[in-house]
Amino acid sequence: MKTLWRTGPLLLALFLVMVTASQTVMAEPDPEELVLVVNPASGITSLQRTEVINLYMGRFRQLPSGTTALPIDLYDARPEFYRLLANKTLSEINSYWARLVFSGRASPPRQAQDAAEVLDIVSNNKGAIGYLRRKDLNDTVQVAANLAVWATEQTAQLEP
Amino acid sequence: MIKLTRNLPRALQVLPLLALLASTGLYAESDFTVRGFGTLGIAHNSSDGAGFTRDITQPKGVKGGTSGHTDSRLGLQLSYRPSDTWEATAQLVSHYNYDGKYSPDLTWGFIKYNPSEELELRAGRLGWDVYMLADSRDVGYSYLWVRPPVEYYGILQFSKLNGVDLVVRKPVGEGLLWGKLFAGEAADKLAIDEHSYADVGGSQLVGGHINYQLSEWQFRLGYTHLELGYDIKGDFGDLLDMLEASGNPVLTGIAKGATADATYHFMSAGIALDRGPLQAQLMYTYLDSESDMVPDFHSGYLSVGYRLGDWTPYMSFSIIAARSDIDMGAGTPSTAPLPPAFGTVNIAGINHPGQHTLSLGARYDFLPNMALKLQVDRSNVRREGRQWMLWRDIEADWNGRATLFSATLDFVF
Repeated sequence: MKTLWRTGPLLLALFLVMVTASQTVMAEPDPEELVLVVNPASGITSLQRTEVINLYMGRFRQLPSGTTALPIDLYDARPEFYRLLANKTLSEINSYWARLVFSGRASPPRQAQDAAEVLDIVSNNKGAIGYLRRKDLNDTVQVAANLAVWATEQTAQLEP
Repeated sequence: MIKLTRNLPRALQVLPLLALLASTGLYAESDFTVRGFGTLGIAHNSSDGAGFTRDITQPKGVKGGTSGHTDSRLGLQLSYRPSDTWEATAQLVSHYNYDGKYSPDLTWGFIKYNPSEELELRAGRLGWDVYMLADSRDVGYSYLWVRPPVEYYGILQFSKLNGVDLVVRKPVGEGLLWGKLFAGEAADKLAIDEHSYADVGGSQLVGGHINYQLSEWQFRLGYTHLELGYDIKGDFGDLLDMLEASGNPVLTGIAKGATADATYHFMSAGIALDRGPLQAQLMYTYLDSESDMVPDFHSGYLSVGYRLGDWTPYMSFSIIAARSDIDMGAGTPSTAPLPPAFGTVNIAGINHPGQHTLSLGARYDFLPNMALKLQVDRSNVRREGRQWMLWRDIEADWNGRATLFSATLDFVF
């Protein structure tokens, strides 16, 4: 009894810390964060960062299922997307594409003007892949990755 | 400055405006697209001992002054893509060329068949893809430097071929393995001096390269076999004709030697790292020459750049050197022209000609489709190498050193 009396408050404190921590983890996701979306019929549940880089940088545009991929850019969110994906500025991405375009190798992703257009293209093309803000999601598409998580991984790699 | 403006063709002067008007051309979406790129550049050579050129197509160099010819260029691409599997593309580039003019050159003109992501076939006029980045040398906006390192990309180079190429891609492990095979005929005219050029058209070319792309790393190995044959035209061509018709066996021998066909093997290796703000490249080529007139060469460069905000400072060190153990043989004439791909050389006393350049610069990306670059180059040319490569109109007392200051405005539209 005496032991419990002494350790009780400690256990309680520990319990409170755990609850708070789990609440932080379970907290509502940021509605502004970018998520990667695919067509529900694509057979994809999640995509690795290197696969997405291959698709978006025109290196290899094929989904794991064998379908030809159709990557879509969300025009206004491009700077944030490429920073999260590869830590690259828009100028660097444009410069990269200049090399591929003017040596006849590949064309940049299709540009969508708003989230509605991304949803429209992705939900109507089995091979399409796009990104948009979480608040703009609907059930015609499927989330394949949370981009903010990759950015955290990148930071972790840089600071071992 | 006034002289510079007069020297540039009018079309080149209005281009920045055009670029601003159509700033998203790179991302154009329709069956038919029109895209372009360009560079407005000035280069100042502080040495009046020799004229600097960017590559072997330029007849006259910048010497003890400033020129807009060295780096300025303009490209236009028309592309028609009626389906996912077929594409037709033509690309014209206007730059200071072998004839001293800016007449547009057809650098690409091909039909592409792309049945799957794993296979791609092109036929027509294609870029010179013997080294990594070699087929986009004209697109200043696509790289950090004012111009690609001249020791590596300026010498021993053509720009295009008429032929076919085949690309095969396959994901392997975490990365992507891809390779290319090409075959065709060269289609270039190279300057010898202001009044002479060499037509290398018809030279046979077969080669390929294999690449492994692993996240931010790219590794590449390449091999090209070139059967070089050419005709020399203009004043120098007339001189050779005269020698050949002279009836004197020594002179006839010199003339024949100067235009003899020969086989060359290019072996190259490259590593590129592109990690966020860091861009680094290490390239190496060995030229194995079967010609009696041209020694074997090593060439390579190391380049490192790091982005800080909108500025990317960079440095590069590039070098070319002939193998030092070359034996030119006792019967070699004391003065003979090299095949024009290599410029003309005084063979007497040839030891191991070469040169190296240290470059420092910065690229400033002030618009999403336009960049300003500033660069300083310090070049050192070996005594025996002064009569060749990228230098024109050389003074006898030149010490082989030159400092270049360059500025360019690069854009895509």
